[in-house]
Amino acid sequence: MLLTVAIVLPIYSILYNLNLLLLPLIGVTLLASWGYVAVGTLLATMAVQARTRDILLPILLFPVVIPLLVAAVKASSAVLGGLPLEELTPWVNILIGYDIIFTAAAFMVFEYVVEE
Amino acid sequence: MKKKFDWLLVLDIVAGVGMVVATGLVFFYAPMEATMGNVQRVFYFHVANAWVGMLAFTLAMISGIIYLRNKRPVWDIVGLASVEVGMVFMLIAIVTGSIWARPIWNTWWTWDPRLTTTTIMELVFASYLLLRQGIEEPERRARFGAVYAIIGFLSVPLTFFSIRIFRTIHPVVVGANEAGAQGAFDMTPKMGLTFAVSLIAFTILFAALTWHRIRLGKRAAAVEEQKMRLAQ
Repeated sequence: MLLTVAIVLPIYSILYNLNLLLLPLIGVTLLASWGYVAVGTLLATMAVQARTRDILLPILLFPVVIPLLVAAVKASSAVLGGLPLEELTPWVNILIGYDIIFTAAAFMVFEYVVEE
Repeated sequence: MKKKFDWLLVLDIVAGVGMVVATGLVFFYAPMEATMGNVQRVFYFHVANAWVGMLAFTLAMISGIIYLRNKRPVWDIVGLASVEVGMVFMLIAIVTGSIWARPIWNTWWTWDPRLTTTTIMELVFASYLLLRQGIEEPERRARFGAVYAIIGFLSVPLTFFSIRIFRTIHPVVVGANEAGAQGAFDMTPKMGLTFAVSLIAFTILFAALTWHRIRLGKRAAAVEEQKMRLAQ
């Protein structure tokens, strides 16, 4: 996830002739990746043990990460559009809240997923 | 078979009577709303169904936690029962909301934050059912179901808090309305009474249906056990 970000951002900066390596944008990307990885790891561990593992992971993951995706998209478009800080903070707050809640929850339930 | 007093039957009768009373109040007792007219009457069922749906998903989360703590199969059955019943109620809430929105908002559906988060909630629990379908082994199915019910439920309050930040056109019944809300109104005492009765009636109906579903789940588990014994 981070690797993709590390590759995609500089390449897009070159291709679109636009500096995307802004500190706020990197911050938003880091927060969004964190939440995605926290939930994704937990659900992927569950999905690989199921019979229909190929289709199950997106079905499980997508509804749960929709709030994260929406907040990340809105926050990055606020950064790129040069909108004032008031437009950005609510979305970043959602990202931070999502990260904290889901990281904590994933840590709490993860042992029940891997136990045999 | 020993005949013993069946509390479930009592609950069924109470739920049935409650539904009849609530429907009667909605159609004959509650006054006509001044600007929206008769279509406003769907509100009593819409809010009650949405409330019961959220209650059911909360119950699923709680039984998931209890299951993970003590590993008693009955809590898995409770969780599955409340998810199934809750999905039906939530779907009714969405459909009745749609019926109301057609004349009031002039559209069947709009990607308003409230509507979107409700859709996400419904999808999460649809995934829950799909997850259970994909796992054969009962013990692991119960464990993963419980975990997913907890994780899935977390996104419900999160998405519901997220709508407080935005302008939504969905009216708020309890608390202050946003300036942009369309179709909001103040309840008169008669409306308030109808609303309360409707809420209680639907909650009792939910309890009765879930109880039935739990009993069905227990019997299905017993049949499964008998089959396993015969196969050996």
